[in-house]
Amino acid sequence: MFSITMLSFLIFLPIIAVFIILTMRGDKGLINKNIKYITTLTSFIHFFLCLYLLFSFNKINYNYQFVELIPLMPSIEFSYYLGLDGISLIFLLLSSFLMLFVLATHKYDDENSKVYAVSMLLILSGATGTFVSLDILLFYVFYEVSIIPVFFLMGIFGNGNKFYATFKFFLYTVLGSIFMIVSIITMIYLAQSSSISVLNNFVFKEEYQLFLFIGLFIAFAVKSAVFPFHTWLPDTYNSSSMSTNILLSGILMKYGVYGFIKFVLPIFPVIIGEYLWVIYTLSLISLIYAGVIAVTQDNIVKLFSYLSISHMGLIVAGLFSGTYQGLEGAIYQSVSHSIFMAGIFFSFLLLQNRLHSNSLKDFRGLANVMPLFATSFMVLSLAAIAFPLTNSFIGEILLLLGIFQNNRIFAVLFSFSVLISACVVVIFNAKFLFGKSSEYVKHFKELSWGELFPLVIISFLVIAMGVYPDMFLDIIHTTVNNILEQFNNGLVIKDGIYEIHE
Amino acid sequence: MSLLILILPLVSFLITSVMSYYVFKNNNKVLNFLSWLTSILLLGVSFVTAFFMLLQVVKSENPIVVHLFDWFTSGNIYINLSVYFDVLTLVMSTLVCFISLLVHIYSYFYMSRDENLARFLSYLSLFTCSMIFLVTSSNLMQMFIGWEAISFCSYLLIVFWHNEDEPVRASTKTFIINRFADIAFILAMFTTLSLFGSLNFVDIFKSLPTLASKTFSVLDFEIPLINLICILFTIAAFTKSAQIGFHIWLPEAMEAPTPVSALLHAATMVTAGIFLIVKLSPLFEIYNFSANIILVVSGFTALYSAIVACKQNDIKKIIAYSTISQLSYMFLAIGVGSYNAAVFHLVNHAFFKALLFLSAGAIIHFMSGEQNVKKMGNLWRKMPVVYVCMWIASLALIGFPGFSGYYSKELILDLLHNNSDNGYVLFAYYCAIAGIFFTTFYSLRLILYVFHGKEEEKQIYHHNSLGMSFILVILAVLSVLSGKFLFENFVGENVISFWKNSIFIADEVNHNETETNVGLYSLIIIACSTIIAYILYIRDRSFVNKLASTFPLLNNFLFKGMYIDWIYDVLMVRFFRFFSKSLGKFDDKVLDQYGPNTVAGLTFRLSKLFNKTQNGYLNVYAIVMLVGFLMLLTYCFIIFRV
Repeated sequence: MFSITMLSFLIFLPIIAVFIILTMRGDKGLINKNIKYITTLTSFIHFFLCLYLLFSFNKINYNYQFVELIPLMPSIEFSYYLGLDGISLIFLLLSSFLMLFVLATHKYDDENSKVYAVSMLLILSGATGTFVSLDILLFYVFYEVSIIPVFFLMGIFGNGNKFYATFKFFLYTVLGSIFMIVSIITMIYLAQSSSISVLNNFVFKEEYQLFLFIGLFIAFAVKSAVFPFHTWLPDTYNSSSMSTNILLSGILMKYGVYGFIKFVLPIFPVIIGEYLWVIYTLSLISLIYAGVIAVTQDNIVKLFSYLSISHMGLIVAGLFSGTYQGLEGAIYQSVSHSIFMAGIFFSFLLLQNRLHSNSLKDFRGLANVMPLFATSFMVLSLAAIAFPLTNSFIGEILLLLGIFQNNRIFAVLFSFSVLISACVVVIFNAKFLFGKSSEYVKHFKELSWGELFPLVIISFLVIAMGVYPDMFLDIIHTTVNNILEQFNNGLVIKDGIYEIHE
Repeated sequence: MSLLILILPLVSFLITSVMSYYVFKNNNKVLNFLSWLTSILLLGVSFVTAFFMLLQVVKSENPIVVHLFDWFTSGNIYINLSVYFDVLTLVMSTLVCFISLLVHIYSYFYMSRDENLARFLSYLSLFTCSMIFLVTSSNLMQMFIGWEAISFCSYLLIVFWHNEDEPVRASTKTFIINRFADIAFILAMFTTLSLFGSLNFVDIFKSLPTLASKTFSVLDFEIPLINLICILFTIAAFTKSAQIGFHIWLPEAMEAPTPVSALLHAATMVTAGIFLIVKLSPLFEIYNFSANIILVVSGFTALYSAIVACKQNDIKKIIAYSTISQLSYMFLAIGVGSYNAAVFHLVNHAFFKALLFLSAGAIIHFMSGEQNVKKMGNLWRKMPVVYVCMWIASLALIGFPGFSGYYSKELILDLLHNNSDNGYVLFAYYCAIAGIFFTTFYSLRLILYVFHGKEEEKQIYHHNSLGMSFILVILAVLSVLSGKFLFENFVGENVISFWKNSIFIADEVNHNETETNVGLYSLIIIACSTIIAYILYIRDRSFVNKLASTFPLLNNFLFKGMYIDWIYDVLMVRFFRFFSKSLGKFDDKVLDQYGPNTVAGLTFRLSKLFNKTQNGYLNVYAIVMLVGFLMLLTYCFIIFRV
């Protein structure tokens, strides 16, 4: 019985914590302390429950597990329908881990810690819901719920030109959401159901497919920052606080990938096959364009945001290649990317505690004074260039292999990502870690053990996932198989109908 | 037991890197010494293990395979990590361990005053470990780990003095250029995978006969897939082994402390490219398409780098260019299908090149950091041991009879001569012969500049270090003897029983017993070169300067390495920087401006427009209502045609 309400519990646990926090009154210091305990405890419980899910998850079971179904609107079969498959599980684990990471490392010493805690917990709740809902409308609701707190986080904790950035982020989000809701409503109207399992098997009419596809594609492309929908990202990252960035790149950006895998790939195989070259071209442009821009950026956060766009380009391309390796690579790389970017942003957070700046000119020659920091940052930057035995190597090699099996010429072009990210990161490191220390850096203190500990955890994960990737790949094998089967079946069925029409 | 070879350097890395942190914190001399002791102990054990395993494997029939664990599985792709010891692997491992051990010992004396010795040793150990990992890997994906790891380690070592600008620039360049090779390696891996369905060397060689003829078509040409694979691997190997066009990182790598250069040039890093091709020799044997490319490129490189070395003034750069040229000789051996000759030359080269670099290190140490040969002179009285060692190393490098280089180089020239029935080999042969002239010339020039001639004034000299001399003597003995000792097993009578199946050995190449006059030719060339060098650098040095000032263009052309570096700088780096900046501007000024900013602006303007209508005057509202009502009415009339 316990496992039946498990997913709902995961969704509502943070909301309970939110209510507790909101009712707190009294001494500021005491409140901050209590908020710290409550948020940390909540995220710990959340994470351990997710781990419990991981261990009780049946890796070879074909069906959704831990399913909960409560009908809400029978006319369109809209229901509170939750369940887990391998992909959901791995993204759920990821977001729970990152949230634990962010909440446990926050200091809670300013006036706004209440807002901070509430927004973060709401995002956690929303993210959990997004990754476990098996109903497209429910998915949309959670998806939006988890984006709204980001505006608060950006507006309150941001810096620099934060209102412009918030506005831009809002504009792009709304753009994506409008396209998405239109597509979703049309899909529900046509299929008379909002359940994923129905939608996946429903064959949409040829004339609607392209329209629906474009809607969903734009929505998720905005989230995963595919060219030309990427310009929100550098500004948003630059003017948000680092902990917001960890969430943005770690969880919200991966909504795009998750959405592509769950709602686009199985439903529109024919369209994807037909317009694959467009998708490839767009992601290739993202990869090279953003990578090239990143090389000469002198803002450390913007540099890594452009690098993220570049990485996401490869992920999106591999995902749509429709091959086993491409899809697994996309999932694995998304997770890896979230983890090492969390590490990198956390490193920047530690630096900003010493000097509040985003400029590369202020941080130079860190290795001279902070060897421990430099070492851990070196591990993270190796992950950023997909170095073997770091987690992103597995992702990148699988992605490239997936594309290679699908299209040789594009694979050759995409393989330049190996070079581009290396250029970006190595040139960056040459200024950031090495060389003569800048005026400010000379007075920096080496990390304390407390500051080092989170970095060690992330670095450990980065290496562990690179050395023994089967640990995570095992979880997704069955689900990926399942999705690819749907994808290929869809191709066959729809081709059949197409021929009959002619 | 067999894993000790691999694990001990890793353990050494871990221990010394922890120690290096405490050294950084407390500046503790004792810890430095302890870390040195630990690392040489561990590496020593590793070397002994490797050596005894080599003896064991040579006697037994089968290679030793140790399965570590399954790395990853995805769909039909299954990659495992296992360590594979055959003769080739163990020859390389023993060599790497040995040179690395010597370099570790040497480093203590060379860097005794540097407080970062522990960190340096930890990098060296990691470097050793990565190289052993590379040579002992059982599949290509696993090899790729080592392949990347060595370039990362060399990056770390080059940037060792990270406080200065030059090493940082050089390390960045090295890493990026080596990364370029990785693209070729990755694509080659994918092609191999799609052709053979596996990346294991054993599986590849097993299914080779059946799949060798598979082709793919480009513009109506049917090209065998094997050729594509070989070309891609050749590009990768060229980059690691610094052949022309890809070589620009190697002279830059001289920014690292000198012991690193000894390790990097002798045993690790640059030999990886040669090793890759030798390991895949059955693949390369099928068609001679890639062999021809190798012959042409390496033939040219052998000549090019030998010529450029004649004009360099930095002692380490001279030796670096000489490495490039010697690597080309190994490639030439590969080009004519004699892979064991390539390995033979590789091993000989490792000893005398390590000796050269460590001697150079001793000289630089003695001169307290001076690297310009023109500022040295008449050192032979002050450091007689180094002087003798330098002569031995140079004679081995030149290929003077009796020294190790003679056996392998003469063999390669013989092979080229005997197979010169096609144009590619003939070209390579002439280049190689001409290369000997310049090799002799730059070697003698180096010695004459450093040890003879006039002494610069006001030099601060350090004392000679006994520890350093000890290492040099060991290497000097090996540089003399290795050629003779290894000849029988590596390339002579026992070839088949020694190498077994680890290398492809062509019968017709090695049993070519025809007497050639190549040895005589090269002796004549060496003699000519010696005479010229003697005249130019002993008799009258002013003539060299006169030559340089009469042909300033040629002088610069050679000094700058034929401007290849410059071309890269202009074509790639500056263009890329410009491209990057302009794309960045495009992103800010165009995409943003016409994207979200325009939308925002439009919204703003529209809202202002509508604001004007909401001005609160009743009469305006009444008129608007009236007009609206009339318009609605008109619309109804038109629609319903009342």
